[in-house]
Amino acid sequence: MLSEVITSSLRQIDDLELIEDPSRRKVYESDGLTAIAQMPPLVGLPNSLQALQEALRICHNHGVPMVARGAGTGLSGGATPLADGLLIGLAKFNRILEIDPVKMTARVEPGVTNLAISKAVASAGLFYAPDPSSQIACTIGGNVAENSGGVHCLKYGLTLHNVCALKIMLADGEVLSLGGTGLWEDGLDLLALLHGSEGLLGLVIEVTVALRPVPEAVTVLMAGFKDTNAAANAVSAVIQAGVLPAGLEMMDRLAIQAAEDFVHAGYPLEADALLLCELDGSDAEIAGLSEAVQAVLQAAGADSLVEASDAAARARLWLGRKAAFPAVGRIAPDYYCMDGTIPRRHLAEVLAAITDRSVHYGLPVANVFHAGDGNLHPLILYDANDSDQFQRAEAFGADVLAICLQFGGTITGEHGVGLEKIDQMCNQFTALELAVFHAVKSAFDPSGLLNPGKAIPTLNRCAEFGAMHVHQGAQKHPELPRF
Amino acid sequence: MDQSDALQRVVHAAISQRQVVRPGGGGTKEFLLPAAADAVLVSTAEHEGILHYHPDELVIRVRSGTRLIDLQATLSEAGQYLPCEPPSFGAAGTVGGMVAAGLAGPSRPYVGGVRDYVLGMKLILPSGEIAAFGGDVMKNVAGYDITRLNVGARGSLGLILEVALKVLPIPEVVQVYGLTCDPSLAQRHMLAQRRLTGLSASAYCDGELLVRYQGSKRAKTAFEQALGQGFVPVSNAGLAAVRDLSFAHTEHLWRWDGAVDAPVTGRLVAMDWGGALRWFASDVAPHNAGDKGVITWFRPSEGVLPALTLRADGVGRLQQRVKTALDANGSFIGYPALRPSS
Ligand SMILES: Cc1cc2nc3c(=O)[nH]c(=O)nc-3n(C[C@H](O)[C@H](O)[C@@H](O)COP(=O)(O)OP(=O)(O)OC[C@H]3O[C@@H](n4cnc5c(N)ncnc54)[C@H](O)[C@@H]3O)c2cc1C
Ligand SMILES: Cc1cc2nc3c(=O)[nH]c(=O)nc-3n(C[C@H](O)[C@H](O)[C@H](O)COP(=O)(O)OP(=O)(O)OC[C@H]3O[C@@H](n4cnc5c(N)ncnc54)[C@H](O)[C@@H]3O)c2cc1C
Repeated sequence: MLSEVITSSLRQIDDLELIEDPSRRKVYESDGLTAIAQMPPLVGLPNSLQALQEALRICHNHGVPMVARGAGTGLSGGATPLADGLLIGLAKFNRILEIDPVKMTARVEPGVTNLAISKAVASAGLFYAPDPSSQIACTIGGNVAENSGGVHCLKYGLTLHNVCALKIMLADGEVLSLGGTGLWEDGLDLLALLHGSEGLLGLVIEVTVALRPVPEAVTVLMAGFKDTNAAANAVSAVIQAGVLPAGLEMMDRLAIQAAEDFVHAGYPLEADALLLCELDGSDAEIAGLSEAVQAVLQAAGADSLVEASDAAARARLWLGRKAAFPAVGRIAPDYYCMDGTIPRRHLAEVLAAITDRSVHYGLPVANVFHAGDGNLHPLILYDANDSDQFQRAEAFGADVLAICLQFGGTITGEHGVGLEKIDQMCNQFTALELAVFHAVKSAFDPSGLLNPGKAIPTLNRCAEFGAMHVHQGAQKHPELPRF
Repeated sequence: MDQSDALQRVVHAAISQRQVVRPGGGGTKEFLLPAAADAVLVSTAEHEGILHYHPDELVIRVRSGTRLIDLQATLSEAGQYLPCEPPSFGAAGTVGGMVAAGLAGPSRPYVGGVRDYVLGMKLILPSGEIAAFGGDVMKNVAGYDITRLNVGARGSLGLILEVALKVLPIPEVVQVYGLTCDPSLAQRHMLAQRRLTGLSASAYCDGELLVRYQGSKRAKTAFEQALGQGFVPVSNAGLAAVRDLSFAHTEHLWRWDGAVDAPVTGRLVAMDWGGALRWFASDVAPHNAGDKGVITWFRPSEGVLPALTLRADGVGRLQQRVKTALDANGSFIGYPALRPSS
């Protein structure tokens, strides 16, 4: 609960909509990780930077923790409210402030959705490249906070690579501009540091994104393979051939079937693995490029190969991939989406280890994979109403993260740590490395009021979790439950 | 050879004697740290070697003392390269120096800078302890991005031991085109050409606009047609000179970073990054172009150093707080003062 003193001070702020009614507050009790819910004692929706700043100052002066929320599509509990904190919704900051077709940038407020940017600049022949599957809903502020990726990251990079400048507000209300007007700024690269900081360092209040010209020509190849190993080798072969596809995605049998049942994308149901390879470039080169890649895929053992070059056919192929999560959601009451990244050469071993855990826990798993950059999304199917299944799903998830670490990967490629993976942070990092994170936090937010308890575990928490770091992967207790 | 232990001992010894540590590689960019003369140089020059390289994963991990030229040779054997195109200030330049200096070449606006290709790092922290951040994978959002914080930090946050880098396939064709013109016409072309498919550099030096195409053979003609009249194929030498800053100048060299469409003024030595980076030679700081850009000092003349100061704005203060939080005892050199004192 927040004290009446604080609530009534917040009520005084013009342009701050306060949600006090419990039935309206309930909407905010979780983000996309619905397994963790916490009713926020109070939700504030500022409608101006001044209102935001005043709210921050009041909270700061009274030591009230704050949690920023964009669209709440995050999958790691980053925007889960705190029992004693103010949840600050930034969705009202949804204006596109400036589009500069010459510099190819757009300056936008943090609550603008990812897709809205590309829509707004389309008439200028431009687009914003990072495209999380949640792009119709997720906000650019949330994208920065998570350093989100999408299917086009292999060629065009993550959010970090496509943001030129940020305006941030620190916990005490101070406003800073990071990134300057050029491409380099003297001093430490705080712009990079803000990316993936999960709302713990500062609130993103304005984003200047870099735009790219819409490619002249785009084509999508879909190849079916009889096993995931062959598909993984095909991915290597494409890259080895010197081609950098705009997107290179892989789905396994269960994901293919779920997606096909859901959206009828025309996927090969007999395949054990599917590759979607998007190529883009100029009109002059695309046909030749496509031929070359088709030859590589065929040589790598593709059993079926389809090319979609017109926009509608391409969209249909992508729809299945982009709707993979909801599609899987139709074949089980609940699914738990994991997000590890591994060096791609270990894909076969990692998938085998995941299959082994699937059998062990008696829960099916569907795999969706940003194959080009090694980012794996195993979707664990379970029924949350069955508490035993819920616990098995959690344990399975923890094992998947341990497997990723064991093979030299990371516990999160793009969804963030949040609350969900906070204990596994103790496995990935030593106490010393965690202390470095805490030091950074203290420089930005000395009172520790922004999103406390998320993303970076305290050393005490790690000690209680008991999983002391073992160097370079080899984890001691992969079987330990996470909560 | 792995010199981590030896380097760590040297750092520990310096810390215990309350000496300030200045990490160094090949010493090719020492001009970047004018004020650090009394600090103890801890050199990574022997700490070299490629730890692993998987061309089909586009990832390489090397020790920091690895010579940039050795790295580049290894990559080119596999048909790959470092897209951030770091300047070559001589054969001694190391990967650690490249990362810590954070200088990117002409391709910066089109394919990204050093920070965009660094995936992970192992370093000796100012406490003397060894820590690792990031990893060998393309996507990794566990913990704050300490790896990229160290890119361009000029050794102020620790001594880099290892770096994992993202690399890319070498384009089929790379061709530079030149057009003789004055700076303002060059800028008009730069602005008009920003969207060309395959554009990978746009610089101006010695009265010549230099535009580079990289991509497939098939698309090259379309690029040439889009360039328009007057551009002729030229060698890479001009652009390499811009990248390596091998301009003759007797005065101090200053850099200006700002908006591509800011008016071109002053005693311009060169423009790079499509106009977002400009070099000026002058004894005193060139007139600051206001909110359209920022002037920083880059390289000395034979004369005395100009009066320089640390950034004093809110961002500068926050940068200082970060440095202090990560190096409470000031065991490592500070980030150099680069702004002209007014
Ligand atoms: C602004 C500037 C301009 C320069 N211009 C030229 C030039 O025109 N021609 C020329 O030949 N040389 C030039 N140099 C020399 C410069 O020293 C090299 O370019 C250097 O960056 C290349 O790598 P290096 O190994 O020689 O690095 P060094 O010169 O040894 O170091 C460069 C910077 O990186 C830091 N550093 C190096 N290794 C590490 C590490 N392992 N961990 C942490 N920090 C590290 C150093 O502390 C220093 O701040 C310039 C340097 C600077 C800074
Ligand atoms: C179906 C589905 C598909 C998805 N696909 C992808 C995908 O392909 N790639 C991918 O990377 N992610 C994906 N996600 C995850 C999610 O959409 C992203 O993490 C997204 O960036 C979150 O944005 P949001 O606005 O919903 O942020 P929220 O969930 O509201 O918040 C996320 C985190 O950011 C912080 N935050 C939000 N706004 C700000 C701000 N302005 N300033 C500071 N901190 C802030 C919050 O405190 C929280 O820690 C998917 C999610 C779903 C549900």
